[in-house]
Amino acid sequence: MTPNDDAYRLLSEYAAGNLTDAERDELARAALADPAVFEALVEEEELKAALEDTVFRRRVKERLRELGAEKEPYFTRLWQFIASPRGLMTTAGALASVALVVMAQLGVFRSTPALIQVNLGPPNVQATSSASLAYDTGADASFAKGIRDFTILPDAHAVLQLDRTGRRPTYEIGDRQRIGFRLEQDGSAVLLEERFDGGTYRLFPNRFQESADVKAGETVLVPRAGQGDLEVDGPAGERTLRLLIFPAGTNPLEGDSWERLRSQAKEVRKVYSVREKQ
Amino acid sequence: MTRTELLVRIRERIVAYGTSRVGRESAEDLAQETLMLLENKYAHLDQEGDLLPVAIRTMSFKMKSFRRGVLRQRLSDKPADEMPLADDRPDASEELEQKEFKKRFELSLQKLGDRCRRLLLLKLDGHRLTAIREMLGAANMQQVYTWDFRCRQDLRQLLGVGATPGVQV
Repeated sequence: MTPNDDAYRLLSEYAAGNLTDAERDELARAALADPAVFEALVEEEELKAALEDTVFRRRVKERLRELGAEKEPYFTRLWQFIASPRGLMTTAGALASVALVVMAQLGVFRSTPALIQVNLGPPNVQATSSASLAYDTGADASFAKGIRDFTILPDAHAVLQLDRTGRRPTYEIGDRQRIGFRLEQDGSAVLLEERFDGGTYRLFPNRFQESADVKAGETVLVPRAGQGDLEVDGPAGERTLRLLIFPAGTNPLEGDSWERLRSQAKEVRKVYSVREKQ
Repeated sequence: MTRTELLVRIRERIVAYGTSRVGRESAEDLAQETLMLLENKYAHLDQEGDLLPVAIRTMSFKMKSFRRGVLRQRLSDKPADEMPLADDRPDASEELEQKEFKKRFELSLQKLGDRCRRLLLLKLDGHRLTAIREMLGAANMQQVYTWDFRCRQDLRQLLGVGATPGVQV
């Protein structure tokens, strides 16, 4: 520390009149030796002169108290809270929560397979409609009703994708479409499409893909590769694809009661929109 | 340091300080007037810590008077021994100036930050910075000095202290 550092520190307390006689002498000597300290002292002297007026000094203190100067500043109270054991725990908890949210957003905890690429098939193969792809059986209708009426737990161990990107892709009536999904573990899958008019179509299993069994990591395309794409038909509106996942070996379309199936099922949803051709 | 040596140093500082503000010649006159007052009215003071503040206040008072044009003539137009000894009591304009300064001071308090207001109040309550460090929860003394330096700087800016441009005559 240089002598002038000391002088500037003494200046901090000069105007308030808190220096001892020895400190005042020390500051004066520094001011006489150094023009910069002298100039600083001249500036402080004006404040000191004002604050030596006891009436004015009292008024300043009253005004400062009116302005809340007696209370610990917000940042100090915050710091003291953070530094306390309770504050440390709260802060650590809050930071951990934020970190978890950020990590979840970044997909650190996602155990689903990577997003799958779904491409349309060759254009020279005729497209097929949802209705002609799916079976139209009474059992299917009852299955669809059962699905519609109950909430099924979401599943993060599967991915469902369209050939168009975005959270809610849009198609026009007549557009070609292909759907893909993949399960992380062996299982059985049923892919349904719900339309806003109440109609439900089973897209998988279908006329060409008869088994609901899906191997872990296998990408299932609907329609499958080499087959014509789906042609998006009317009516326009929002549609929800629901990929229902059952344990391996389950035949979700036969035999078991709906209650039992529902208790075992999980699902992944994907919403898209259909609009009239522009 | 003897009183004579002390007065010589004070004179040097006043001349150096005043030269950049009122010009060399007038600064020497101001120093001379200040020293005359110190000799005649404050002969009992011989400690640096007592004498220098009086010298600074006298110098500031005379410099303000000079700027206000109370002295109609250039100081150097009169021989030093013919100049009347200045009365160190404030005149009406000086009183008005002090009143305005105090008013500005009070108004400035509103514009100071929370920490600065608390720091100032603690100092005016007689607390030393070492105690204030604990009260404000500062990590070390350097942090308190930095806070205090910035607060005093803010206050001086709000008050316009030290911002007066130099007057050359």
